[in-house]
Amino acid sequence: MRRTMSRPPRSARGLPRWAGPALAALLLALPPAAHAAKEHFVIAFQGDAATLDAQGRNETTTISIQMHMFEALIFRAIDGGLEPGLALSWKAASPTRWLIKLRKGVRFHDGAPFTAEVAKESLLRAQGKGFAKSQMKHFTKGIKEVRVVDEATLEIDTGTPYPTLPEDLANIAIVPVDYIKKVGDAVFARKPVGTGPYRFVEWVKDDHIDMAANPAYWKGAPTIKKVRVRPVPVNAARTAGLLAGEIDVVWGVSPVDAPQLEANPNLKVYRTVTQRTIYLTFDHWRKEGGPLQKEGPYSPGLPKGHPNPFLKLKVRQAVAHALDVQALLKAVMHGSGVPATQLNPPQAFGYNHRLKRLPYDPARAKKLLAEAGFPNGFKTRLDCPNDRYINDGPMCEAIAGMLTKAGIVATPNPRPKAVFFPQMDAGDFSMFMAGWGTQYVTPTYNAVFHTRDLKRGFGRINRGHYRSEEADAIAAKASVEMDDKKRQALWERMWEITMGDLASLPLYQQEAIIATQKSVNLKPRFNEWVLAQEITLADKN
Amino acid sequence: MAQEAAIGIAREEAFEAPPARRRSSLSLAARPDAALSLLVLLAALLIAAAAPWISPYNPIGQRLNLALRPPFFLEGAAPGHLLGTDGLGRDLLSYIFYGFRISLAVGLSSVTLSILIGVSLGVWSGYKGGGADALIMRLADFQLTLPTVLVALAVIAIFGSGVGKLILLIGITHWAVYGRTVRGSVLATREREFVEAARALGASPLVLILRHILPSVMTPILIISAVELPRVMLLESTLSFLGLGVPPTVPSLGGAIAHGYEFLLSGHWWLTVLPGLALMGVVVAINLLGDWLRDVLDPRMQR
Amino acid sequence: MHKFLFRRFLQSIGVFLAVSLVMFAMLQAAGDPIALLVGEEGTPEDIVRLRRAFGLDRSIPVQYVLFLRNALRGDLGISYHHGVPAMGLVLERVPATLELVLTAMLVATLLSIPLGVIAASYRGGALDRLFLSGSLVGISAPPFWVGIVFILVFGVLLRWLPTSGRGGWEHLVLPAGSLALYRLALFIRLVRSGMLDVLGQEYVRTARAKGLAERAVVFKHALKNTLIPFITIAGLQMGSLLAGAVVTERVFAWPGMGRLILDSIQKLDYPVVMSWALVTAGIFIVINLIVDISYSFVDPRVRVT
Repeated sequence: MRRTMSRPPRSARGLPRWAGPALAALLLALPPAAHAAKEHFVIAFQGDAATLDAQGRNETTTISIQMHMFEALIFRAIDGGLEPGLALSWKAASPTRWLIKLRKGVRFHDGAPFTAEVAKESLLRAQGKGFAKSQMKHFTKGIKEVRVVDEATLEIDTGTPYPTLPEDLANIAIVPVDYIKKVGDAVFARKPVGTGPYRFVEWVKDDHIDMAANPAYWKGAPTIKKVRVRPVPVNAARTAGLLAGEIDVVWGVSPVDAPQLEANPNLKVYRTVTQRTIYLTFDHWRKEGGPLQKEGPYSPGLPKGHPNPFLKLKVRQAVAHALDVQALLKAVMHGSGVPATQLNPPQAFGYNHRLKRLPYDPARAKKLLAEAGFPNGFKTRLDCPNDRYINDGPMCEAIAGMLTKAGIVATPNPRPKAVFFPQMDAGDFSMFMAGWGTQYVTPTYNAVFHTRDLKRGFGRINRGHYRSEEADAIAAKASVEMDDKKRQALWERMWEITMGDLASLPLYQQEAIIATQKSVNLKPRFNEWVLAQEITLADKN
Repeated sequence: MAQEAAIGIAREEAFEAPPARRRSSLSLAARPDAALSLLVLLAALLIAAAAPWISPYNPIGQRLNLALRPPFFLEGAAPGHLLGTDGLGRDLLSYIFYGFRISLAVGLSSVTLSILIGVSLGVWSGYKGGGADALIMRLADFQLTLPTVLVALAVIAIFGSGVGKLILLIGITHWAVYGRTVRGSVLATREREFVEAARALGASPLVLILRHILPSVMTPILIISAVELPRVMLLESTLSFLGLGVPPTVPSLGGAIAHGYEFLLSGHWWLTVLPGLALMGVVVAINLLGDWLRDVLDPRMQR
Repeated sequence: MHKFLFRRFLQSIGVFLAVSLVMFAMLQAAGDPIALLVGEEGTPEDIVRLRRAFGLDRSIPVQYVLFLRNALRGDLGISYHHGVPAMGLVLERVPATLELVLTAMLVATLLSIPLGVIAASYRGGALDRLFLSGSLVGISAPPFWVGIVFILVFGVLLRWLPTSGRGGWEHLVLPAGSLALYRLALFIRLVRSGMLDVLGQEYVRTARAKGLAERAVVFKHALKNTLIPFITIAGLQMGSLLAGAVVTERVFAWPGMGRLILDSIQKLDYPVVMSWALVTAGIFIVINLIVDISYSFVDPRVRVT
């Protein structure tokens, strides 16, 4: 049977006749709605702030946002150095006593005055007193007692000599303790009050945080009057916002997208090498491969019954020689990043500028393997996260590929960070890739290289169970050495030992890429913060 | 999907129509789009089967110096790499060929698993009725609530990632639509006279029901599968986008699309578009075949 | 009817319990939220201290029991990452997600009915083929693709609409559109095939024979009968829309529940995940209930089981 019905009259269609043309007219008449004059200066991060309690979370994006509204006693400068913040000066009057002179006349956004008493209470709160969820506690490790000398002077007693107190103080934000007492921690986390250049206006979680310039700021009100911070999780969408003119500063540009943006005359791209170093770690303690057991003797990344090659220095050196870090950076990161020789960046105190990487030399790698008793190489698993560091998944695969070419048949095993880190903590690896992101040598040593003793707080990141008594002794001496030159020499010796032993194999420092509209001028920060108060605009319209 | 099931149930319960036999003026010859789809699907299956022999390169072999080369019709292409290379220099054409394998394998296996679970639970639920029925239907509600993402994360945590685990994951979390459909059929059949008669005669009603409904339930199952299969293949892609899919050393179309996504704005569009087109081709073919199947198998279709 | 409702209510409690238990178990299996919270640079003391502060140092069964007990009092815990009550976090996101999901649903439904009817009316014609092919593409494209294509075309290229975020109605168009696309395509096909089925039915031919205007035939009789399964489908689609919103919300930076759950799962923020699970389970159960009830009202021949 062919068509059973005659064509219905036009009006029997679902849509009236004029629908088509009307729709077309509507579409064409649609104004470029997104480009009515933009009120705010918009900075887009990848994620939202976790909390606006400046002592509540130690995470880069969160702190970068908070540092618009809060300040610490000591200010972290753009190049990583220390400058006066709410403190005018600081001095070690004795090896265990520090005198800190505070700035006068500073007020919080709610008008409350900044005094030595407030500073003391802030430090105690960071230490966890009355605020169990503080994540700034480890920055207060050196603080044994805080004393108010007068309204503008603070005295800190460190018990034992603690040379890095200023570094720690630069990480502790000063909070309005009276306001917190009045409204409670939970409200403070959503409606913050600080001393910084911007005042809090509103926070719609996952959508935006609005801030307005603080006219009474002690350094003078900032040039940009209204700031909006937006979390846009998908890289492509963030970049699209920039291209469409809706976003002024994009944080976390993928190195893959950067070249196109650099070629765009309406945009500016800033690159800066950061303190985050990507490295490989080895299983230094288990003797042979086998299934994972709790505190068991087997190395799960190796085939059952096979001896653990990573116990031998020559094998670890072979791994180093097998990797061409420049080529890896060129291919996976499109040239973004810098090869590293140790786990701290060059600006860090204690950095050893004399150390050199083992050069790319696959022939030598094969030779070393043979000398170590593995003439035909060996098989291993390479564990890594796939959503924590820039391009970590592809980098993991590329590293595995390079190792395989040199005889170390590595199988990449990328997993989400929620799963990866706990499993690394449980020892479920023989070799893994991770990142370390601080420029402080003392916590670096204590966490990554110190003989593992979790009860005393050492070696939490020393998952490979590396041990060097010599290095432990040097580190112990350095952490109480008040003379800067001597301390520097001690730490340099530590790096010589640990990197010589290849306790871990540092690969490269990550580069942070920020893209902005043409009119934006900023100096990219070493610690990856983006602060509106440090931004100037070329032409204001 | 559930809506197809609903149509099935609606038909069964609201309109009793006698099954009719017709001639197929619905043969493939009369439906060029269905014929084309069948060809496409066969081609995909063939490619999947023959991937190791027809791929010019090892799909996961890295050639870092040949990274991000465009397909042959663009400038800067590398000789031998017809569709270009990805960020680590892997040949895209080979990756797509092998990708058909995994994507089709994951799709077909998980759908089969869902069917097995769904049919079993659906028959049990419809036949037993009462408490068991209520429990299983609530289980179906429950299964529809559970976010695949969470299950995927937990599965990867406990069991590690891998194709087999992904199949189990998707198979176990998508049975409800089949379960509901089969249950509907069983419910409708259960009350029929011949079942009563069988019971009176002491014969096992269950076997009778099975023998009666299984052929007729094949139709809705096939039709639902024609929608579920592409959906599962797209789901695999979404899971990869979220970092929860197959590992990149296992070539899959969904994974290729998700990983290539990062390159969209930097001008290397082929990395996500070409595998995407390949996947869409298969998905469209399956959908068209599903349409045709529905027309062929539908007893009430008249021309 | 009352007995039915009561039974459903009891069963729903059962579902809630089952959902919470399975979620809880899976979260525990998935990893350690405290390690994630403090990051690589945290110290072991931090971990111990925070674990105690969040009540995670108790054994798992104890934790679950405590969770249930608190849940009955309406307290689902404090989010590890946000430091605020978890249920509050979820509930304040519900409007944003509902806005997105209901709009997508509306768009898909309202557009699909006329388009499906047109296609069915012109079966085999050019329009029919157009809609069929269009809808084919709609159900074959990966959802995160659709989103970014919309952003690039309408946001960057044409600059008609904003590329992300929530705001006035212009912010809703692209995300709702991309979320609706799959369903729109699906519905067009369903309406079309439903209409085709029904148009061949006896009573339609009778009506036509009675000389009723074509329009009356098409609309009044055929459409009304297509609507029965359609309601069911539409209701069930809500659930899948909620799931699909997860990807859409992420691509468009939409501040809804889907975004929250994805982040929270990745960070193993138990209280938020559990709250979200319960809220979603609740929405699902209510939807299923409405669908079942309205189904039996619309067609009395269908028995409510």
